[in-house]
Amino acid sequence: MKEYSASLRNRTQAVFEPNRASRGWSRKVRRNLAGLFGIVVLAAIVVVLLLAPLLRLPDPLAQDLTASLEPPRTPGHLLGTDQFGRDLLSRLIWGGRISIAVGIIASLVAIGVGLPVALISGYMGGRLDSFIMRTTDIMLAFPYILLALVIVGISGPGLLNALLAVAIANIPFFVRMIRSIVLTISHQPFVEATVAVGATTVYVLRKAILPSLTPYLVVAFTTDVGWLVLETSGLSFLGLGAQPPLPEWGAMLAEARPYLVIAPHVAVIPGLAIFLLVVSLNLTGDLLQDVLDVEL
Amino acid sequence: MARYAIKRILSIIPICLVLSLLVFAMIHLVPGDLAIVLVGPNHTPETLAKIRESLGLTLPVHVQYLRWLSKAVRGDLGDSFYLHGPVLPEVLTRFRASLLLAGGSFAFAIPLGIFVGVTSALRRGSILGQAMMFPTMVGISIPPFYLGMLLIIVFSVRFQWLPSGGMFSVTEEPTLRGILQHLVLPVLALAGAPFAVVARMVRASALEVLRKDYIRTAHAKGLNGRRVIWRHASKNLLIPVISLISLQIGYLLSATALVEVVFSWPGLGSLIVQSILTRDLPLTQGCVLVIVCVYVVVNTAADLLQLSLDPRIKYA
Repeated sequence: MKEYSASLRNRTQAVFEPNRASRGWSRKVRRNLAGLFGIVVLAAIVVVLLLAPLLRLPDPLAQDLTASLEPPRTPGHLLGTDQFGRDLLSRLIWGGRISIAVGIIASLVAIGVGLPVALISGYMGGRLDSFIMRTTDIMLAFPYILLALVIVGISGPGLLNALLAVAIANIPFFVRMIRSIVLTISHQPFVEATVAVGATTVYVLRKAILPSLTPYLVVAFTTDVGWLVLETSGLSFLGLGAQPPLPEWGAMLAEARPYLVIAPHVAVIPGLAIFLLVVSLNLTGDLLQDVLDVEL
Repeated sequence: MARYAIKRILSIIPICLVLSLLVFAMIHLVPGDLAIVLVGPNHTPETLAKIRESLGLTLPVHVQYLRWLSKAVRGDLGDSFYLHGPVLPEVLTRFRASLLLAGGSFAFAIPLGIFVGVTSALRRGSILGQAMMFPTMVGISIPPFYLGMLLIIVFSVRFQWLPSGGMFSVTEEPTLRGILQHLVLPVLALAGAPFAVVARMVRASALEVLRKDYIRTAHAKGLNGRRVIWRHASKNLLIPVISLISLQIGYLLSATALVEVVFSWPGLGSLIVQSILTRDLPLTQGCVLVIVCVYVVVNTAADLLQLSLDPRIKYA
């Protein structure tokens, strides 16, 4: 135990929090329990979604109006059916693939654009930096949901447009966050040493700054995916993202809204799926934050 | 201080100008010919020309902007295609409804978030402290529209305690009591996320502050714990929270869209969504402009409040 806390202290000192005391192990484990729960749920969701083609599910788009709004545990329909008699389990699983893929792609887009901008802005400083910061200021002057709505308003409703909208709306957050970390890192002695031995800017960014940034990126990406799943499902719910009959989770909730009274399960199930996915991503993010010793 | 405050307040003007430029640009960023987008595929050259004329699309862009802006500052945001009438009165009526909803959520979420955050920081390590953070994890992970639907299923459908939608009952005269009853569920649905974000932030901030030397000194002087927290720690604790709260107002003003649609609340958010779905650009512009301007003003107010609380902030 002593060794563990000593190594932990060394590590934390090496990073940016020199006087962060090592936490009590019982507390850490207790917190990790939630994190472990998150990872297990996340893994379960991902495995089920990946195995979808092997599960011999009914066609998620096949309608059967004689069997509409069946409750869960109906023979042949484990989770029941929706208003068109479509199998909810199948829609849930196939729709989950869309929802999570959209979240991942949107995060990658946001990070893909935000990271280079933040690196340049944070490391180069000067006029370019202040220009980039003013631009993010203006983007942040729009509440992000409004910004996403505006982008969809310009480009028209649709899943791809919704994906791009939430990605773009999240770029300024990302730029700000990464830039402030880059600023801290670039004043570390090892970066200054790299500069002192005559490394080029690109080399410094790639070999000195980017590796120290990786743990932050991992944590940010994990929580960002959950965040963007929430946002795109929101746009789909409003009818601005995925369009029927596509079984995206937010769109499924929108379709279920008129039937809250007679068949609440049609809404409860996809909503629960969004919630579980996002919770598991958040808990995993928290755990990673603990393990990787980063603070965002 | 006063000088900085004036400077900061005056800075609202250029910010609003830039934002107005962006809002104006929306109409020109629509891919394709706007007139064709509006009229649809079945059009004659005459109708197209008429639409272009009525929107002023034949003029140079900067002239269009100046015209639009000069009208906007005089309260004329143009005519809505969908409502066949001026945008501003409709936007303002809807805005009042949204403000009621967002204000209610704010009044509920922020104090509760601060309380939960501080308490769970004080009881860190105990079961209670951990348990108090559970609802905050739910709050940041649950879509507000889903929370709204669950509330409807439980409180309107199952127990029939509260109405499931609308702002007042159609069959009765609108009364304060009636509006409050209709307000409860949407306020709760909208409050989930800001409550959770504030509680988590306050907790982190409290953990930070409670480690400070001056807190230990206060304890060592023999002051009682409650006094240390609410007199000594709270000021430093709340500084980062204020800027967060102003961000949450932005969230509330725009996330109302998600909740308003669930509860058929006649607010600005559902109006934006409707205007986007019907491609009613002047209406979208009007809604966006109002929300953004309010948000800028709120942000400025938060900055000034922060400044008055924390003299260490530089008057840059």
